[in-house]
Amino acid sequence: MTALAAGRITARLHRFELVAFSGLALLGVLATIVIAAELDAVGWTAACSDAMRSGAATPRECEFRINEFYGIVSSRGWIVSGLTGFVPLAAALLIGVAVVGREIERGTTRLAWALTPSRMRWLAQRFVPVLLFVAVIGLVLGAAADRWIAAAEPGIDPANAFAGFGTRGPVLAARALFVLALAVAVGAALGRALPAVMVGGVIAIVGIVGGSEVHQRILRSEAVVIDEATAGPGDLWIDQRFRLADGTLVGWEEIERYDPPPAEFDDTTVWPTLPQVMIGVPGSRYGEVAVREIAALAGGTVVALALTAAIVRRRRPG
Amino acid sequence: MDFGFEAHGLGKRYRRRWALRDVDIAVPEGSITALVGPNGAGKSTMIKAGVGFERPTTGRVLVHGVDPWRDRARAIAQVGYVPQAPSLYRELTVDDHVHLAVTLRPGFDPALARARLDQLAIPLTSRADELSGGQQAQVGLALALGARAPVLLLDEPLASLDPLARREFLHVLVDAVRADGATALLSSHVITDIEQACDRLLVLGGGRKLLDLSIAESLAAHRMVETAAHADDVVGTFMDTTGESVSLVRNSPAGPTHGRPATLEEVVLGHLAAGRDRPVLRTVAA
Repeated sequence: MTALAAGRITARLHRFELVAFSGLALLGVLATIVIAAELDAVGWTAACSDAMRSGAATPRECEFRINEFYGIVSSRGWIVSGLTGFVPLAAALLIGVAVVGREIERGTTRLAWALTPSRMRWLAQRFVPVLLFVAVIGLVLGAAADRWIAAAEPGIDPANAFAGFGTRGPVLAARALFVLALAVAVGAALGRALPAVMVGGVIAIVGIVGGSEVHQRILRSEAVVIDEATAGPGDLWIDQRFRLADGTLVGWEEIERYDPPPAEFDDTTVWPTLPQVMIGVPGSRYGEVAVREIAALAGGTVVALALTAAIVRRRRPG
Repeated sequence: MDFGFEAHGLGKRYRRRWALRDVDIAVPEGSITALVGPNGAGKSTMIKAGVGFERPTTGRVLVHGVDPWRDRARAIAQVGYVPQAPSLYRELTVDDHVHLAVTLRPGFDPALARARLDQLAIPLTSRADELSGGQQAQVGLALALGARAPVLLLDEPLASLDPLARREFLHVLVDAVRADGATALLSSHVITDIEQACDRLLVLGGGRKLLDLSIAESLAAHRMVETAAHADDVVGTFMDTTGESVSLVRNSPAGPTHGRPATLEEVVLGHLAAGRDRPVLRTVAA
């Protein structure tokens, strides 16, 4: 009963943000359903996508559909990717700074912290409902983004593909929760909402981009050689190599030594002639890599929350 | 004697400035003590130290025997606090605030809080930002009283209230304190009001304790003279509203016998003048 009352009070405190972001999330889901259905209706198949990717002759039935398919992707795709990618992170940032920062700014912590023998109880009452909201928004829009990837890149299985990594599926929800925890910590430290939005936004961008960069380096170290014949659209491409007759791999910087280019190029020229291989991570590892990314983000979330708890425990109420 | 609120060698420094320095006080249980002083005297700092919002630089505060900085949870359980500005959530109704207090504080008595609000005809369904300043202060007081805490710390809750709202506020406070046997420390600028509500007077000036007596003792111990015969007896000199220089002197067998009894306001002004280098105008604290 107390938990319900606390949740209801927290929902009232953030009513505007909750309504606004719920509306945007709903819009994102509806846009995904409608625009993805439009793409499905075009009939651009996996075979069309494969032909385009490989540079092979485009099947006749694809030629008529390419303009329509990519017309929809380029004219309306941004609505889906914008809403699904932006809303969870924006909700996390704007609601997160308000959880503690806005209360300190408005002085309501003087009332609340003088009433409660445990500031941690207060923090939990404020944070848990918001955490659930952002998690739900992140998961729903993450699922919508999965649906969008499947529609916009036919032939890709979202559960086994690195396309759109980090901007879809549960990884998107984990990123949103990480941003939420960061925003709460920054709001608690600064005690003012607007500066916390700016500082929290910068730290969140640095955190996510920096974290992705570290993860990319790890993935590079785990990359394997994938033959062109077995490479799939869901694989994570890291680099390209050419296989010599003895099996040695060489890069573009050495290729001319082993496979001199023709003196003249025309439309029929094929060069390099050596078989190409991809250095990458197979799409089948997506699930495992996503779990690792989520674990890292969860670790960052816990650290940010511990920092918030330490700040709230010691801070003046403003 | 047991004390609801104590300060022992209490000092608080903000960068280079001392807001409080070496303050020793003991507020007897069951009393309503007025904490009086000019802006910057250290009143709010002392009260915030009692709620665990400020960490003393030196010394310590005890609330019902508990040091808020060492054991905040136990100390807060002893305290009902009314902050200087109404700190209500503007998005919430009055009844939401009562619910909020129930969720935050074990043992909070919502019936008592609602009864106090009902007494004052404050609608429970109104949002906090729809209430007048006086009503907001009353909601703050009702929440503090609903905590059923043995010690009430009130940080200038009367500052922004009109005379009628001040009187209502003090009436509710006195009623509640007398009914529960609680101890109250009320900081205020408005001396005429506290004279009716409080039984003790604690004057702070420049971060130091200038006077700590019961109101009756404060009045009995001083008188006003136009010129002091014995400089040793003069507590402080300040200008009357007519521009005349008048002095507050201590009543003592060897002291002056002329003059007239001092009012509480004059007692406060005399001690504040003693705590300052420049003369204090009578109108300052009126």
